[in-house]
Amino acid sequence: MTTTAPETATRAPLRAYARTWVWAATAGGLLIASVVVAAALGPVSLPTGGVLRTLFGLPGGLEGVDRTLLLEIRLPRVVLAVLVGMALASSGAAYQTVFRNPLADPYLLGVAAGAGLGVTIAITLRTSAVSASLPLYATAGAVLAVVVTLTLGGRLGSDPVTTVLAGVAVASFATAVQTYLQQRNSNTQRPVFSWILGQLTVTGWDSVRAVAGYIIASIAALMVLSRRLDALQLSDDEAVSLGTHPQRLRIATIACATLATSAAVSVSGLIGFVGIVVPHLVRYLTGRSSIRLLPVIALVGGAFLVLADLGARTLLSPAEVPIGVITAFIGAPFFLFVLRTRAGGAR
Amino acid sequence: MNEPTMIQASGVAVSVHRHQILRDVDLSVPVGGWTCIIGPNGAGKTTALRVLVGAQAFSGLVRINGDPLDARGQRNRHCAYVAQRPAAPAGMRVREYVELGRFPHDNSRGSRDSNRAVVDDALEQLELESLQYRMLTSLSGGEVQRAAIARAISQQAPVLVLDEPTSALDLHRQPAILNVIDRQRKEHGTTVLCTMHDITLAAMYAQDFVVMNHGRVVDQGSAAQVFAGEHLAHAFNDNIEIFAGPDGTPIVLPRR
Repeated sequence: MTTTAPETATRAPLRAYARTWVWAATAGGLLIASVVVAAALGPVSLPTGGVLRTLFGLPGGLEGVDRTLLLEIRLPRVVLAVLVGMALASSGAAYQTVFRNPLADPYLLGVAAGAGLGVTIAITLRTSAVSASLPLYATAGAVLAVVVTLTLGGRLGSDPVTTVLAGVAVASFATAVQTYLQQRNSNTQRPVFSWILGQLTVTGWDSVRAVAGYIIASIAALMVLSRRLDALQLSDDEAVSLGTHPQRLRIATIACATLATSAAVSVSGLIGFVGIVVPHLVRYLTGRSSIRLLPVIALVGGAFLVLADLGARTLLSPAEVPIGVITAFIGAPFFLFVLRTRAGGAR
Repeated sequence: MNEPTMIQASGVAVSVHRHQILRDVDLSVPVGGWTCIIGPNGAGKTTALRVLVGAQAFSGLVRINGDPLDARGQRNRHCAYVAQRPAAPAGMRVREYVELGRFPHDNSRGSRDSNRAVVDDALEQLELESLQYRMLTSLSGGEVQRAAIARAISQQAPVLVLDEPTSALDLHRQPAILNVIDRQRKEHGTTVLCTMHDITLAAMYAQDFVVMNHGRVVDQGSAAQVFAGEHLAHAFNDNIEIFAGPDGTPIVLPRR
């Protein structure tokens, strides 16, 4: 028996019990800061002061070409990054809770493979310009894949393990069909591949308008659900005795998270790691596992993707690095770091 | 038998995949008492508990605290439940886990202090204060079981339902935990319903027993009635021996 062990164990991690709103305010500040920085930086740098004044509608803002550049080109992309980041991070956290699996990510139930198949079908069907209808095909494929997964998993996701395994099967099947289609139409490989790597190239506010409603509504619904979701960290039997209805709660959560993810995927392609890294980062920093941290997770997710996208368009400027490459490049080593620290510091 | 009942089950049957697990189960649990369900493996003890906490669909009638329980298996605010092997969620600290017991309660700002006091008290009773900021996954099986009981106690439900509460505990911790539960019963009037394999230990705490075998209730009543009857021994294939201990509590041993 060591004498120091109990002492360190009793000590509350200082930050562990800071109020959620303190964390939410910090994360909100981080998000605003990253939005301003990302809006100011690019091939043509804009003055930060001017960007701030324009964003908040104060006198002395940008004018002329700079103003158009900010409001019509850069801002839509930054806002889209915020929405997609929020959607992926909160869906990831929600999936991790309902499946009691820390490695669950937003693509777990076949969303990615389904969307990929949808896009491949869209591109192979009409090799001409189809970019306008891509989001529709992606969403349809993603939602279809999740519905098939839940149906195959039996009793609509009541058994998390079976559901996850069904997701693996559905994803493999969709990927196989997609690969077959690509093989038969080799001219489509380039556009499909670039979509799969993830990108936030947008044309004005159209993409933002197309998905903002879905993403905001489903995140709001997840926030409401999250007040009851912590019970699902226990077994279903124990969750019932805490006065919840685990099955309904799980289905509602999966529905919201799938809607958010599908909407995000439809405009951004597949951006990996956000849904895993961000929830774990927030849990690591706050020292808590409660899904009540969802607002914090969403805000940090937004900031993370804004910064990743900033890297994607500035690192090799004027060329673009696929954003999925950036998130994985930062995400994977960081994730390993968190895992190692947690394994060592958990005791 | 006119004492008020907390749980009244009549004609309860459960079948899963056409396999009948419970048949025609009638049982009653008096208010503020400690009732223990005993019987061999596969007798349906755990299923009976799952019915009562609302986690298992059934046919028949169950009333808890006067409220009929929905037969489809529905949420239930009367029972705090500790499963035989409680789930230990990854990334969760002991204190956070025990705080889940306050989940069904008012969690508004005004009740934060009282909630914290209840959680502190539960941690103290189960000697978990020094472990409260440890990760649940870093604890031993016995420590997780204590944490689960602390969680159930902090829920302050009228009924405490425990499936094998001592199965993962050291010999000397077993009475310690059962004493905590008994104190809860005496001080707060909590009704306790549990299953236990160690019948001797059960007899030190429970006043009422339900003997189950092959999905049926074969005997129930006070300790004196049940231990004097033949059904208990039958349930274990007549391979147990019941002695009277020094203070009169029965001692139940297996036969070689």
